[in-house]
Amino acid sequence: MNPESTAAAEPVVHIRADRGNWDFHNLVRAPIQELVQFKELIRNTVVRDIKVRYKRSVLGIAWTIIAPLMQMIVMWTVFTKAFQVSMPNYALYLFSGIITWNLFSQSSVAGGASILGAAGLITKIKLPRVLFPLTAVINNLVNFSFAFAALLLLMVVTRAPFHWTMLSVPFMLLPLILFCMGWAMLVSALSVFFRDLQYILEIALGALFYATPIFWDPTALPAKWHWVASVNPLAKYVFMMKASIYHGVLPNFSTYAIATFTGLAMFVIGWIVFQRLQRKFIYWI
Amino acid sequence: MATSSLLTTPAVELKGVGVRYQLNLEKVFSLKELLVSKATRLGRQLRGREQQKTRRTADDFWAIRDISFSVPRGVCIGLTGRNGSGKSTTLKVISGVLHPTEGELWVRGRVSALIELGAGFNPDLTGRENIYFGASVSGLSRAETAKRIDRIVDFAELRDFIDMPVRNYSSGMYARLGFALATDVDPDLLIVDEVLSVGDAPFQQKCKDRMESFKKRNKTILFVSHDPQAIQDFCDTTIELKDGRINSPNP
Ligand SMILES: Nc1ncnc2c1ncn2[C@@H]1O[C@H](COP(=O)(O)OP(=O)(O)OP(=O)(O)O)[C@@H](O)[C@H]1O
Ligand SMILES: [Mg+2]
Repeated sequence: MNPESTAAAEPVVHIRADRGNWDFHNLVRAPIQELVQFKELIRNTVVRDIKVRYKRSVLGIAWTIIAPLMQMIVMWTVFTKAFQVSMPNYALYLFSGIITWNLFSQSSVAGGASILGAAGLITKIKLPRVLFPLTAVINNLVNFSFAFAALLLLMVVTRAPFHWTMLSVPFMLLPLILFCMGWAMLVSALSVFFRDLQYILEIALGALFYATPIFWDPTALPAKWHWVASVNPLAKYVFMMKASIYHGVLPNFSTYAIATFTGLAMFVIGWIVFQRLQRKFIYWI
Repeated sequence: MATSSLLTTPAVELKGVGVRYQLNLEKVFSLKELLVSKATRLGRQLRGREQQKTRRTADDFWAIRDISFSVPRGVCIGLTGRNGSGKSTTLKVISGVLHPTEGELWVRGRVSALIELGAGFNPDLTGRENIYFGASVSGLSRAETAKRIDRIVDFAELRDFIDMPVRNYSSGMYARLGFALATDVDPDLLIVDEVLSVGDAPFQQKCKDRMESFKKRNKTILFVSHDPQAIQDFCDTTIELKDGRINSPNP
């Protein structure tokens, strides 16, 4: 026990300019303790972002449902009318893909910009900075649940069959959430140093959208394109979601294991990169 | 006095603290250029140019350097110096916002820093919502804030405006809410960076009274102000900064 802590239960902060040793305490325990201490702020940030986003709009929170529905209707019109796609319940097929994709793409855009966006707070107040990318993802998870309610409605309206496998949706979401959080931490930290990253990300997301089975059917993919679905982690997440909602089957164990491992790996990478870079943010913001 | 280490260990202790800003950051466009600039920096360091203790080199600027002092508990120290001498930078290092480039420091006890009033406020939220948000920024729970909110609103004298978006506040009202919120927490160490000058005269008096009461309760205070009178009234000792270094010996 160090002599300082014997005096009383008062907090003692010791800051050293050097990098410090990147042991379990610095990399894991201390940041998590901080996050727990600031759980109220995490909650407030999520609530505030939702409140502020729709405060001055007429339709308010309804936009979280209207926007993906519109996206779906446009795509449905294009693909059924112009390209003559004839899949049963194609609207549901599209919509389940779109809302899953949106969870990722909006998490990475909002999460990626979250540190630069919180510059005002970060340069003035001491708080656990990792909460910004994390709350951006939580925020989009809230959006996702609203959109999911719309999906249930869509199923009723289009008389799509309800499969019991839909109950597994939370389990399909879990690896994706880990992936989104890791990705948001990574991008938010790196874009402090490379501002171009946000523009690159936008373009990359545009390309990734087509490499993900949102409007196309991965089982109908020619063999020479199979690698796309296996390198693109998003393809797995969207595929798993559609399996449980649309196809009424559970993904096999190895698919789920790989998806979970990918999500976990992304989370760990994002966390480590973030924790290592965060001290330098204020010098670059 | 020396029976307990609580009384003998200083509240704040800085040893050779320095903060270096890299200028020309905007020139670093690509990874390649970043590596080149790192390499030239390393080269310069190896040749010992970094040892020259100038404040400014080709692409570096030391906002503060070799700052060493300690603040005993219950003492109010005033930081003075011209604009740009490094006062705010020093306070940011102590409050934990800015990680120093060199040196080390110890801060003992709970800290409340008034670097900028209402920094976490969101213009679209009401005063009340912002109090809850701002209190959670300093780590307070909802229940703890609920206990304090009446006192905060009364101190800020904003009862009639508290459910109005702070977008519609005057800058003085904004600052009042910020001050009331930041000083309602019960810190062991209070850091104040020239924020008292915003309110009107009666409110400034209230702020001074509150600072006095902090002093009476034996709290440690670090105070930056350009008002020599305020410094003289409050502070037990002063430290003058000049070009990022301490100009007067540590008392
Ligand atoms: N982000 C930054 N990048 C580069 N230089 C900076 C940055 N922030 C501060 N500085 C420099 O650091 C020096 C110290 O700034 P600081 O804000 O600590 O001064 P100060 O003593 O608080 O001045 P004032 O009395 O005007 O508040 C200044 O010369 C300033 O130019
Ligand atoms: Mg200043």
